[in-house]
Amino acid sequence: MIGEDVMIRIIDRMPDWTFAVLSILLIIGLVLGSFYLSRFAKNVLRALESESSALAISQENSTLTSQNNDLQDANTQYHHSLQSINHLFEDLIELRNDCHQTYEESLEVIKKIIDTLPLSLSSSRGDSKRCAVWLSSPTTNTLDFHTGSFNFPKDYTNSRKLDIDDSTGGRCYRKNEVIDLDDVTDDPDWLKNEESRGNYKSLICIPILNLGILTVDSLSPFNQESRNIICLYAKCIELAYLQMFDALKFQDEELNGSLDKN
Amino acid sequence: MNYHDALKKIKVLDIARQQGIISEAFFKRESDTLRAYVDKVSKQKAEDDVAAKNLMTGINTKYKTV
Repeated sequence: MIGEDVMIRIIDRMPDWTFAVLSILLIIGLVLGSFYLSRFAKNVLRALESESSALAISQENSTLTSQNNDLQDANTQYHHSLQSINHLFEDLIELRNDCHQTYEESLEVIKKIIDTLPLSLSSSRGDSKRCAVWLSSPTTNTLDFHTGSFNFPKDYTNSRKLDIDDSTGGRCYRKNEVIDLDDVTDDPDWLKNEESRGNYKSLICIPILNLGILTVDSLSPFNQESRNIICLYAKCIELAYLQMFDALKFQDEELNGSLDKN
Repeated sequence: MNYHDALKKIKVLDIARQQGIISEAFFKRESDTLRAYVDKVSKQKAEDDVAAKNLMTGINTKYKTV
């Protein structure tokens, strides 16, 4: 109570101009305070904005890194495939230049192409691909297994056939069109081979001249790079089969020539 | 040439004949030789299978008696 009385006496004794000065000082203090407060708020806002933009940049960076990895994978896949195809073309040119080429040499090149193709296609961990050439047999109206990659059973050569009128491969041959299925079970013509232990789900069928088809099976859907590479390999296979028939024709003519001489 | 390759060649020869790439005579000569080989291998395989089966039966009988 004494303190309060003292304060009241002091205020009473103060001249009037003191209140005016104190009011001015208070106003100046408030103006400065609000100025610095707004500056502080702006700084905080700027910091928050930069943090959110850093987050957006980080997200964009991770998307770009993932896209870059995909492109690098595609680049590596193309690079390896082109190297392999280059070797295969060298083999084909060698066959072409050899005037005493034989059926067996052509078959070796076809086997090499068929074995190289699944290895050229990119595959994630646990994924597997296989491919085979099926030749048409008008007498039985089937496509007969001719040459397959290493992961096909050996006894397929003599036993496995696809009905030309009632199978996915048969439709590819009949209509002379490429068939590309992410899930074979969706195709009305697809029939499960009960003896097969593989769980191949995706399929690409490509006609090979008017001789038959090339099939490529995969556990997971093919990417665009794989599709392009398969088409390129199919062309190599066509060339190799043409070479094979040339070899047989050559052998036939040689035999006829030697018979004529005798 | 192995058994499977011989079967493959018969198939290719048949297509080549149908498409008029090779003569009938050449086809007959080549495919007859290949078929003879395939038959011989098949026969040999069948004989081997029988022999293996007999051997297994013999082994099983012997162990059962022992």
